[in-house]
Amino acid sequence: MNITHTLRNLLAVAAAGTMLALTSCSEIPEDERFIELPQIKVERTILLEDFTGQACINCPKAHDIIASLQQQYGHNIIPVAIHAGSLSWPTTMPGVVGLATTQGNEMATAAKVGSYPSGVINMATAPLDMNEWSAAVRTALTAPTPVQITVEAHHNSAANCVEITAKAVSTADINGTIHFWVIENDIVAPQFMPDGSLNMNYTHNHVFRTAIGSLAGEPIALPKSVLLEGQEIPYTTVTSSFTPDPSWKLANLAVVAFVKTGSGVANAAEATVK
Amino acid sequence: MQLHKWLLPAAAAALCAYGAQAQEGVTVHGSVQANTLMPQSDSEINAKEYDEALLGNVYADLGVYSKYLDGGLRVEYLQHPLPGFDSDPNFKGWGVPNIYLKGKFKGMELTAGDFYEQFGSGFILRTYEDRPLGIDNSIRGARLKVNALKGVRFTALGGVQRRFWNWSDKRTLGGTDLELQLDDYIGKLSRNGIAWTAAASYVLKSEDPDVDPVDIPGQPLRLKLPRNVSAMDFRTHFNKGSIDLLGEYAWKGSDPSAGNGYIYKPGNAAMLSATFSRTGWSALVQAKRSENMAYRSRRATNDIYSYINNMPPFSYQHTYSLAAMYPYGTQAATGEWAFQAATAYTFKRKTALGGKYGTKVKLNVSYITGLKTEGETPLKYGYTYGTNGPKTSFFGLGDRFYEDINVQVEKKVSSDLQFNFMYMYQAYNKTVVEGEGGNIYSSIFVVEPKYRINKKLTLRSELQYLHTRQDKKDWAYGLVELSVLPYLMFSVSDQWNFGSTGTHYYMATVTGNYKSNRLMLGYGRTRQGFDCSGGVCREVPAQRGFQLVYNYNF
Repeated sequence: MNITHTLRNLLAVAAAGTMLALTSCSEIPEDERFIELPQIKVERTILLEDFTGQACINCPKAHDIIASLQQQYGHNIIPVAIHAGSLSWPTTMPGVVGLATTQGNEMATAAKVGSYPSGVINMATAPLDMNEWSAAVRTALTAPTPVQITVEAHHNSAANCVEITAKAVSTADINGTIHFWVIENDIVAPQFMPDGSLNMNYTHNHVFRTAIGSLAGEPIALPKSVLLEGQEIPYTTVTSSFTPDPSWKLANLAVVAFVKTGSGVANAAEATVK
Repeated sequence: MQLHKWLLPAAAAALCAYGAQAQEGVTVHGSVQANTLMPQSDSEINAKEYDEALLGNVYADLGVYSKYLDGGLRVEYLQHPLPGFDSDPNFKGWGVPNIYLKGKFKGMELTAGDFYEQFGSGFILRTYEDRPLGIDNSIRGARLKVNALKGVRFTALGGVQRRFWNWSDKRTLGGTDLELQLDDYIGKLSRNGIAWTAAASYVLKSEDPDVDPVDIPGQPLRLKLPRNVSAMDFRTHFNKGSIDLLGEYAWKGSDPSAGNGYIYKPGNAAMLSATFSRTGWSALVQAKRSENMAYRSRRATNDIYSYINNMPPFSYQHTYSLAAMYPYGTQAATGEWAFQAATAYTFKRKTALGGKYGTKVKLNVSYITGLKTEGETPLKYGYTYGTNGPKTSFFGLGDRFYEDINVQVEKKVSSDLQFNFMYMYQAYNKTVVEGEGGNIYSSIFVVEPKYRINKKLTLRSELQYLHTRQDKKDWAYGLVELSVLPYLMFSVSDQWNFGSTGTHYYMATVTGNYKSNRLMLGYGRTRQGFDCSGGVCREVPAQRGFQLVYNYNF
């Protein structure tokens, strides 16, 4: 075998391969990088658990994404910022306003959150990187659900408690659980920012405070109902209440209610405390 | 049917048949490795409670080797993994994730099944297994190596990459590498004792853009993601006597990913390295610039498990406990400028500095910065998605990511007593590496005496002190280790944070060696931190409990 000849052939193959490589790696022009998406039919309200932390420098980016998604989908998206993990600061931390709770950490463990920020949609997805949220939210919103739910929350100043009334109805027989979470908006507390700096006056929104009762929720059975226009909706009513922690600002509190089945959150609703 | 779906059973059947017909000239080798922990919760160090009484990562390898055919497989049992490995729930599982057959004939080598490969320094392709990090990003497919021609080494491969227990055919990769030994063709070079190689590599990653779509938050828009991402690498290696030079350049096509904020700018890396070595003296100088070179088979991930490539670290790999407390992890996505220089000199015996037994002095300097960006980071619809990312200047140095200057002295003072000393200054940008914490500046002092009591007993000790005003402030570490040749070793150690928390991380171990068996029993605490190897880091949670580690090779 003529080594030089073979070598020349190999080099020719390599050159051809390089040409092929160069042609296959053509760049996508800047004005062709976005594909317009069709309008979607929103079928439900979704719950987005944002696992976050005050020492997590990328978490404010996730908060921005949530703000954009809320702008896009309005009340059909309910975000809850669950402060947990090693990049969070507990509420019991001396000298600083920490936002992580024991329940929050339990939720992160149950959701198998490995990195922060991570998002779980309708308690049905794996923990998602924040870049995946937008597409996943869009998909989740279009999934039909038999369950409808509404919630109201009123502060009873005489008893110093918040009384919650949720109404749920389903077009299919449902055996699941109903959950009530207390969240708080406009909390000014420290937050590490993407540039590494510490913002002492960061405004935290949708911060998970507590799950009323337990994280497992309360059992609920919704019988199959036929919803006819003009007729009264046969809601199942569930009530609950909680005493606000003195460190919470009543005016900034809201209650999130959702029905959960084996396949995740069937539908969710949010009400500010009035 | 996809290649990898029938490959596994076919390879297994062939391996079994081949093993059954084992003949003369056939060797069988294997190993068993079991790392286990009986975890205990410990609120002082935040070691959490586990449902399982026993956690462990267990591996068993078997290989059959002969002149023309090799075969092997690995069984892994990771159903109840050690703390930290479950950070991605997909890590859990058990089975045979690695099985291969390799045929060899006249300088040709054809592998079918699972294999590891590296082109050059790994800029565009390095798949490997690193058990402490939980990494196994092997390729399942086929590989051809041709070494039949004088001075030519050729590799071509293709397949799908392992990610835990998944080999998705939605993501494939292929590559080729051609290396020429120029001194085999240019007689003048070989006559002058020069070895000179030139090489080029090409890798193509293909990923279905519809698998992990990326929508623009707040907009009815979706990113058009490239199905194919190409990467090329060119390198040359020159050696003459005590001088060794390496130059390498790599380019990666537009590769929007979670790691780079879905920007479309191509990546590139360049490295120059020079080493000098002669009896009693060696030196190394190297520089590397890389930008946007995180190359993963799965673009939606931002972890260490789906890398196709590996950017070599330019930081010293410390083994002393406190020196390794703040290890640097290579910033492949954002990019970095990295410089490293090292020299080692042995003062000869019977000289003023060498004394009776000689003295070895080592100096290492690492300096790693980010890239200097120009202007504001471009945004579209409020995000970096779909932009070309920030502009950078080639020679501009950004923020310091890491700096390490360490001096080590190895001194034998008598036939039975030897000392190692180390001083190290370190600047560590914890925010860049770990996501929070700011800059940490530390000084570390280490003394390691080793005393041979008699032919059977050797006593080794380590005393370490880390001083810093940041993070958890000052630490001390002490270790005493007694080796009883040839079977046993006892050690006790304590890592003590006396600058802030006052926490002790104690550990006691007994290790026994018998023939090819090694068994280590231990009890103690492990600090929460990062385990890094080759510039790649895994977060290790705090843990306490009984450890049992068993290794067997045959």
